[in-house]
Amino acid sequence: MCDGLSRRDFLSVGALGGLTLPQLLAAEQAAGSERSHKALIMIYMAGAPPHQDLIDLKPNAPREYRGILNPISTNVPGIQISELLPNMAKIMDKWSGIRSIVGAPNGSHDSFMCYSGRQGSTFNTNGQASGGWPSIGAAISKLQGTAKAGIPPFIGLAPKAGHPPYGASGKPGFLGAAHGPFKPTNHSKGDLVLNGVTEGRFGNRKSLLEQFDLFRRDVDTSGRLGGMDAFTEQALGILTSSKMAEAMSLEKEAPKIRERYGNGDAKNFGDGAPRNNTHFLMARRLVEAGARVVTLNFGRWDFHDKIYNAKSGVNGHAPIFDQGLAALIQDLHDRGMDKDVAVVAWGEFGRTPKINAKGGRDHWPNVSCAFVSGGGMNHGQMIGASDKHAAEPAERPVHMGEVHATMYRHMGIDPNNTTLADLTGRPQYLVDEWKPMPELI
Amino acid sequence: MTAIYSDGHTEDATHIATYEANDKEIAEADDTGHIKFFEQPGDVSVMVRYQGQVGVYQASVPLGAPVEKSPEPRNFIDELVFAKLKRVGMPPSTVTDDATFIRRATVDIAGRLPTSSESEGFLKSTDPAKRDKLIDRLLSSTDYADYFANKWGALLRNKRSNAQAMRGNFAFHGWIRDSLHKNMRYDEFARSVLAASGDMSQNPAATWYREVKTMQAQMEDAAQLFLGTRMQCAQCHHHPFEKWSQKDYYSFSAFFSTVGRKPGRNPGEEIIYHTRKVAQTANKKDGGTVKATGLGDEPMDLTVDDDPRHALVDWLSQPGNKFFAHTLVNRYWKHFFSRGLVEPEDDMRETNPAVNPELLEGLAQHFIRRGFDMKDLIRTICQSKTYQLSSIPNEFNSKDKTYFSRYYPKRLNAEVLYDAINQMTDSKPSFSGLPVGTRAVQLPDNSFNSQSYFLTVFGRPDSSSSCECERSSDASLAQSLHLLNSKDIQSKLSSGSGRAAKLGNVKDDRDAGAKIRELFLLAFSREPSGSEVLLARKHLERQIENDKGEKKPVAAKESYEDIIWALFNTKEFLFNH
Repeated sequence: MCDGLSRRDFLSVGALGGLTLPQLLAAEQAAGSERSHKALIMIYMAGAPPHQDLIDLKPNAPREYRGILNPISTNVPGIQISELLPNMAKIMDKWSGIRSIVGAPNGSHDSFMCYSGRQGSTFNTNGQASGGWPSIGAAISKLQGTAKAGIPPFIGLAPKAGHPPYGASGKPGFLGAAHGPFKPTNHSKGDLVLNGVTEGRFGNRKSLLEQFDLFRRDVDTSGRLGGMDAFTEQALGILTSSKMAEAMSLEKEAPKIRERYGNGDAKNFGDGAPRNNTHFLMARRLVEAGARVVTLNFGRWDFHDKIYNAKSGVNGHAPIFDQGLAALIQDLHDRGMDKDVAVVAWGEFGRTPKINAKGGRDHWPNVSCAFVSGGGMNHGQMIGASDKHAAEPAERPVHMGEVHATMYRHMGIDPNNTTLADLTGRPQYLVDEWKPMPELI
Repeated sequence: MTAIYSDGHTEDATHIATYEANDKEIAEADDTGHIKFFEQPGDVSVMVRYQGQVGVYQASVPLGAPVEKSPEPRNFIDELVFAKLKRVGMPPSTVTDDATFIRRATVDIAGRLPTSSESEGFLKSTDPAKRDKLIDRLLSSTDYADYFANKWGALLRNKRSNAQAMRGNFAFHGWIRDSLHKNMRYDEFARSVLAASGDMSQNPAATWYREVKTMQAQMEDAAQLFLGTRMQCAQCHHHPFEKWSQKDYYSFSAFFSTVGRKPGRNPGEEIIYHTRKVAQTANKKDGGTVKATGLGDEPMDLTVDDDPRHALVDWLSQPGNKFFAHTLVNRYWKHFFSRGLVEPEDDMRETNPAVNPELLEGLAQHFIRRGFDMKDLIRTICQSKTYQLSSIPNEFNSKDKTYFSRYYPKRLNAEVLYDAINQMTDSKPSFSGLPVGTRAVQLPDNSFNSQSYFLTVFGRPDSSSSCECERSSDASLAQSLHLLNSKDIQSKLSSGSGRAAKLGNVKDDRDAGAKIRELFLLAFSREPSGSEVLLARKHLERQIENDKGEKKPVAAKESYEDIIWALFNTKEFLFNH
């Protein structure tokens, strides 16, 4: 809000004053919905990327550990990263690497941990809070709701994948389907553009609906009727004004910008995610249009054999990723969005220090890496360190929950004192005891 | 707030106790125990906590309007509700009209919209007992069993965890449905599930044990489902709002301490049996052993030959039990009124009292007296004038949300809405592995959710919790977009064998007015108003210019598609009201 009231303040005022959701939305609009909002773009590097081949190279380790890649210098003196990430190297001052991520429960492939900061599985809710842990996007959707009418607060760009967790965008868990990711590239994609009716006919339908829909709103105090009404309104807006479709259509973007991001490859890589660089750009456009959390899944980094293969290995993945992520970070800075938008890219775990007989690296939950940018945080640093073989954290192990705590804080939510009720009614903290990372804030 | 310590001395603890109101729209308590009331009338409880002790202060914020007349009470429900309304000065809305009633009751009891001929017949009938007769007819229909089996199937965790589970899922669903249809006593229903023994292939109720695996999960589910009590918290600590301790947790778990299982005749199915031993378990808090004990009761002396689960159900269903009947009547009250007398419905505790305690007690006693008869309970609720009140507020009760001075509208749930849209468009849903035309409320388990984006996006539960709250009724943008514009719904509308095609076909030579009337009866169970007919007619008769600039009438099928689309996107359609 213009006067510095947060939406939460607004909600509690609403609770006192009996403001319903549509009134709230209307009030927000009146208050100037063009205000900037905090947002998060999270990139899940599906299949677990090799930390030692990306940002934590060990040039002095024996060859079977260090592999074939060489480190290169970055624009921050003293920090080196992989030769596969030349674009990221040029903007090292605009991001931070974490070389000591811990907290992966085991070696099973799952986006769950990245998106929720908690142990658990996409497939079942065993050992989780009743109803399942919500992902950060769902929690933000529940806590902060819609930022700008017509744009859902939580959007997931991952298409379906052969291995379902590679295609998951973060689960709603106990918060329920309404807070799940809006997936414009899956189901909802078809719902975004008019299906089998012309614009003119849809306009006719809309006016028919408005004339038939005279049922009194005042019969409902729960806000559900009004809530439905508000979303119907927004949906009609999307379908007629195409705000959402516009955010999704990259043709509106200057060719120069599009070239900077590149296209990558829109096809899923095996049973993994695509290496679709247009998703980086789309994420930025959606955040700009009003989304609070956008997630996207990239590639399939599960290189058990021939890890340095130029097509299917890290040599095939990292350069595309480098282009996309660096373009996103640069673009956010160029547009002055780097304070409001935080970016995190990571996978579910790391890969074995020693190259195996098939020339690949296997699953390694002991340590992994992450890229963090934006959010008005301190950048141009490497946080933590692994040992000489990139096998165990040697300094400052950073739990995945700490990264989540940092992101909640960025969103304006106190990660350690905010609770959400699970299906048993038990209040659950967003991130247990993990605190925002002092290195970043 | 006075604290009395064990050494006998007392102290004023007002400033160090904590206070919390359960409805912060009605009242708020600060650290000093001052309670501030707001504009919202209603009942509110303020919980006071100090050193593991809890107490509760209850207040009514009356509206104080004159209550000159209430509808003539039909039964004890009305007497208790109207008495309360008089006390707080909130006049109830009037009794609703026949159209709203047939739609409301058919949705709430049978989980479907009335057909247009049902509605027409009901509106025409002059029988003074027609509402009672409708309720009876709905209760004896299989639709009632389908709808409530859908509800219970989720709560009893009839979940398709893997492909092998399918046979059991179908059998368990069938058993629940049959039990409801023949109106099995509720205590017997609970016994059949909780004390189920034998091979799942022969005793489908034993399937409950497949998804609810451990002793603790069985106890927690049983407590939440049948006692409206959440024991989960007491596993690790004395619940701060609750009197149950870890000892209670473990001694109540002991009822499930003798459950044995071995492979059954079909893969993935098991035989559940009572292992011959005394029902007891370790109290993990102090390492001691505790015997099976009903909550707040004395330990039971059970022999090795006593299946403690039967002792549990005996304890549950004895007339003096303060939880069992209360939980069910509250659960069903919420089903019909959108709000439990205790809310949430499975969190009944001293510090979360009912908004109308006399009514909760009255319903529970009635239910016990009538022999745990579930259909009788529904009949009693639906016959009440309270249930039959209009949702339209009068000048005083628009803010009411706890006194039931009017009917609170609720969105049709995922399954009912899907079926209703199929009914409106005259299309047959098809779920793989089930006969074409199987309705969504008839689906045997959760596995079909993944086939249907509609059911998922509208929040059909996945049977992974014994809490009704797993069913999501929150609205979302994805839902609205789907209703307004999905291919799925678009193809139902424009199908060559659908309703629009039939209405638009020249072979149906009825006047457009009759066709419009049919649509309104179907959608809202009422006659269209004059202006609504006019609006629809205008849409049917409109002309549009073609490429050559000639005015041409629009194909009737297309126009009917538009009208049907508009009708099922109205709030009057989407909500039960």
